[in-house]
Amino acid sequence: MSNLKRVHGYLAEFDNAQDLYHAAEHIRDAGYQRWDCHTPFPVHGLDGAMGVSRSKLPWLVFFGGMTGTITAFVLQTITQTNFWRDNMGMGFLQKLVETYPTVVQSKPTGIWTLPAFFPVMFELTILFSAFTVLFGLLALIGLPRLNHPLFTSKKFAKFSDDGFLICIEARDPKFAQQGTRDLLEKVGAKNIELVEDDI
Amino acid sequence: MAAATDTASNANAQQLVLEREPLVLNNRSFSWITNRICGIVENRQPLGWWFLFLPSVLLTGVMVFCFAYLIVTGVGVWGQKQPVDWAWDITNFVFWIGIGHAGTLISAILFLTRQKWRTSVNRAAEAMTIFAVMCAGLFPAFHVGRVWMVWFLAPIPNANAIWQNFKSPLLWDVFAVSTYFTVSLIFWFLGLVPDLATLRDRCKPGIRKALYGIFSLGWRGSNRHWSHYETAYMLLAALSTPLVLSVHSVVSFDFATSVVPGWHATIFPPYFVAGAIFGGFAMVLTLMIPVRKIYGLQDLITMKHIDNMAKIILLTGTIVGYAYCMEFFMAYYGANPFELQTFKLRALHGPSVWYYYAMFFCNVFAPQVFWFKRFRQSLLAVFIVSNFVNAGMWYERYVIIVTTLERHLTPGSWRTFDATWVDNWTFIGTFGFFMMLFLLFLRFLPVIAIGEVKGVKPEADPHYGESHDRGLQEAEVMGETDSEILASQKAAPAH
Amino acid sequence: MSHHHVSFKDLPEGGEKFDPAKASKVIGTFGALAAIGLLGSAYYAFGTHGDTQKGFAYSWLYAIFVGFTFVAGGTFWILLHNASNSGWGVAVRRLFENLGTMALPLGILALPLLIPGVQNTLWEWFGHHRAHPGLEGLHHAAESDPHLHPLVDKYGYLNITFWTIRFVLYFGILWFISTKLRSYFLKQEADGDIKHTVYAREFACMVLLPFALTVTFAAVDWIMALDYTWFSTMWGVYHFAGCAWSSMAAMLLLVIYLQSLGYLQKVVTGEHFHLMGKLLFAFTVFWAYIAFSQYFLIWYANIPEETRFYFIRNTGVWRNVSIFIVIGHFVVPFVFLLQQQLKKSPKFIGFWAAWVIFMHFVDIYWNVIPERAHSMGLEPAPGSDTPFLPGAWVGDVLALCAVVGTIGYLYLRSLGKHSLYAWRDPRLLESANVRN
Repeated sequence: MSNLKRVHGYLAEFDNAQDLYHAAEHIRDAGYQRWDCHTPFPVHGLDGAMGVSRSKLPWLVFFGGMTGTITAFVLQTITQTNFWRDNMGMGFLQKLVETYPTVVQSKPTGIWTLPAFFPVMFELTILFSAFTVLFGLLALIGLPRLNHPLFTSKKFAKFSDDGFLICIEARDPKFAQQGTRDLLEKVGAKNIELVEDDI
Repeated sequence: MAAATDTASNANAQQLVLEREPLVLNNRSFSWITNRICGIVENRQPLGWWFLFLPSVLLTGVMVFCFAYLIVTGVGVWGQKQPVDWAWDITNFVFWIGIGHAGTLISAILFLTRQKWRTSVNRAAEAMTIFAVMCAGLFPAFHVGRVWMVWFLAPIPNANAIWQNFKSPLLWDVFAVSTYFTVSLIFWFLGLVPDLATLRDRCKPGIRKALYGIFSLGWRGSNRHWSHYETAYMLLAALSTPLVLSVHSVVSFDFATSVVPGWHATIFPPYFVAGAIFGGFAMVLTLMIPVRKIYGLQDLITMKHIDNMAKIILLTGTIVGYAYCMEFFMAYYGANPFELQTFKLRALHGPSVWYYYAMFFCNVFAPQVFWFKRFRQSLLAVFIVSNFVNAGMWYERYVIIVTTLERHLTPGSWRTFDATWVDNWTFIGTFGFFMMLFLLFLRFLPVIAIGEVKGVKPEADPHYGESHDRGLQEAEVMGETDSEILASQKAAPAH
Repeated sequence: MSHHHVSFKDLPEGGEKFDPAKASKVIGTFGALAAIGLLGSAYYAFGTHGDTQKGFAYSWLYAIFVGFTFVAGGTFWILLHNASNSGWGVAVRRLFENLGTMALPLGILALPLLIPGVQNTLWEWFGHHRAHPGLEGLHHAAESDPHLHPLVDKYGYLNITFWTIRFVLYFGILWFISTKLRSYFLKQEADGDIKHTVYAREFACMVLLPFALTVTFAAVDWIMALDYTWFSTMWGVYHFAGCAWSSMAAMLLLVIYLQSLGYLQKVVTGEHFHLMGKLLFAFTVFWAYIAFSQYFLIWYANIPEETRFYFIRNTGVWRNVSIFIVIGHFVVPFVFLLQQQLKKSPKFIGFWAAWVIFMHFVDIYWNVIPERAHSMGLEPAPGSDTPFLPGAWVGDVLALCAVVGTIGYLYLRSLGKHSLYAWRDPRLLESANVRN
């Protein structure tokens, strides 16, 4: 391990959610881009104070869910009806899965047996949506990531207890060793620490 | 009105404000909450924990033995005989699935309706859901006898070139229950991530820290993450709500799509759902009342929480009562002699009327004591009634399933069901399995959602204590809380 | 955050009094509708004869039941608000209370349903009971006509005396509940005491069950019994879902209208539209769940005595209406109301509220009217496979105009009597400042 260190950014502490909120408004107005708040719970309205836009996750989930619906529809109609052969002219699909429709309770094998397929269509919609939520979320927030420069700070662990922290990263174009520190002091930060990471 | 203090806010009229009761008592700090909840995991378990854990493990062993015995002998070791082909296995399946529903209700529906009191109980309730669904899944899995053939239920092409019958309610069950289990697990895990990070940050380096670290995914409490996270949580709640309705509806389809008298009723889906929520809340209370006491969580799970849950039990119990009566009314009104006969056998002169009355008493009458605040405020009363409900919901499934089949359409084949020792011990064993899992959960994971409880404290609001708020508080907060009103009402002479 | 915190200093003392003169246009429109509808109805009821006159009985039942669902829905929402100790709805609760009290005028409009001739036309069992009085008479008649056997079995419930008592009770219970609940808050406006809020909650909890039974059995007596052999245990829940759905939509439209006149500016915000929109969405889904379950179980089990209801409605022209209901009552509003942010926009939510009301009219129409031609024994016209009473839809529209016009007119006039919101409710500020 070399002794070289890389500056990650300033980590500043605030007394409570209210101070953090107002500091965030100032930092946003000062034009910083690469910075973040670290809190033990989601603070209401902090997105607005930071200028974070709404998550796009619902759109991903909508399409994930639709995939589930269509999967269930196709799976069931191919294996249980003559819909693809009689109505769509795609009998080869039914050949493909080597099957014949199961006749139940003398109900026909046409597309109007559809209500019997709703339960599975519904369940797969939910299942696919839920998977999209989980994996979409992880993709959007870039986790799991087990190591991070902030973990080198002793103080940082307070975020998961009762700490309200702001970190302005050195990657930010507006970052300046003195100027950024002054700004943080001005907005009421306590215990400002320069976080450095081993290279 | 004893303590009402009037404040002039308008020129003449006096205006009072009815305060909401605090969700965290004694104004505990954020770090007190962290310490208290993490302490459960970090400290040695109290004697009570071991006292419950060892018998649970023993009973789990009994369950394993019973299932092993079933596999090596055959499903004939259960008491099913013509015409009662479905008996305890499906009764227990429906019972356990139902227990799970309250967990999803608390975590999803109360979340969507912004019922903040849910935060103190949702974690444990979700854990309960998952464990209950695991117990439920055992019965259909093992009732096939050759349990290694269970994969035939999945729509995977197999050598016989036979596909599952997607029009069968039993296959919908497979989809519904497996989706329910998966989504509940995702929901639970997602909610755990920030709290696992708290545990990780408090651990000394070692295997525990590594494990908590891996499962907390490197969570940093970043607001840019919280923003997506909250959306994801809301989405999962919005997905779980119709899911939980669908699961018990699909379970009810097992019966209601048939033409069996007593089973075919259009009200079955919502009636099953209401019953499931009802039974599930009873199980939540059964578990949480002792947990609250053993671990000293009175400031987080307050009497207000207990009171709310008791009221939900009263409400859903009444809905269940409505459904019982509606079934009866329609059996009469529908003028179908077979349907009416089934209900007469259930309630008047069948071989199992005792079960029917036990069901009615436990589910409809016992919860009525919750009309009175005195009973909602008594932990003992709530605990006893909850256990009545737990039992009552099992009787309900037994009544629907077994008593109907005992007197099927062909009188020549009538036979009363008798449970065997394997039936009994398998069912008792699942309770041990359920308790064992729940106790392990208490031991290793935070029983209360730490981050969420912090979030419902008033000082979590970024505008807490601001000038206009402060003005408001000084001028108008002189009102009373709910319980004070009720107390003064009791004290006051009749109005 | 530009969110301004509303305090008592911002709100006028005595609340906001609605001045009907300001809304003269809309009140006038309702009045005109009522006048046209009532005159037309009078013509159909007294000026026609034979099938046309008989068919109009169905029109009137349809209109009355539409009105009933709105009134019952209004009562339900105030019950829920009080029983659940909720806060956000205080700003709009008075509007629902007033809607519930419309049970009284609606009950008066429903009086024609007590005329024996109307009853015999609508509900065949009345005719059989009158032709063969008493249980003995029915029993005797059933020996030669086996179709009457169910009526013998149902005699304890379906008999004229009990039916009439229930008829009065349905309107009476709804009127009593809503008037009583409103009176607690009117008293509170006089003395400012918090205890009224607590009493209202206790009262609401106690009448929840009677309310549920009222809606259930009203739907059974008036609609399900149009065919006395048909039954479904889900019936009450199905109509309850429609009640809650339609009344919420009506009140959304009303709040938007009142705001456009300059009322409720301080206490009702976009958050209220969002919350009411969410409830509208929730009941869109709940209705679909109930409607699907009922249809599905009857379709799947395929028992002849049950399938008749759907058989009539799922064949011929009515099949198109059924499919339209699936799409218009569920799919379309579901997709649009899914949009979270749009629900805060009055224009958006107003449009969908109006759509919901329209679809609710269609849904009740689909429940009541298909039975008409079958009960009257009409044959399909040449080239058609569905029996219809020709031109009867004019009577249906006139009856709907008469009932909706009269109730709307009386409702808006009655709004001026009290403040538009409970201005001394101890949760008023909680409601005005609600955020979700």
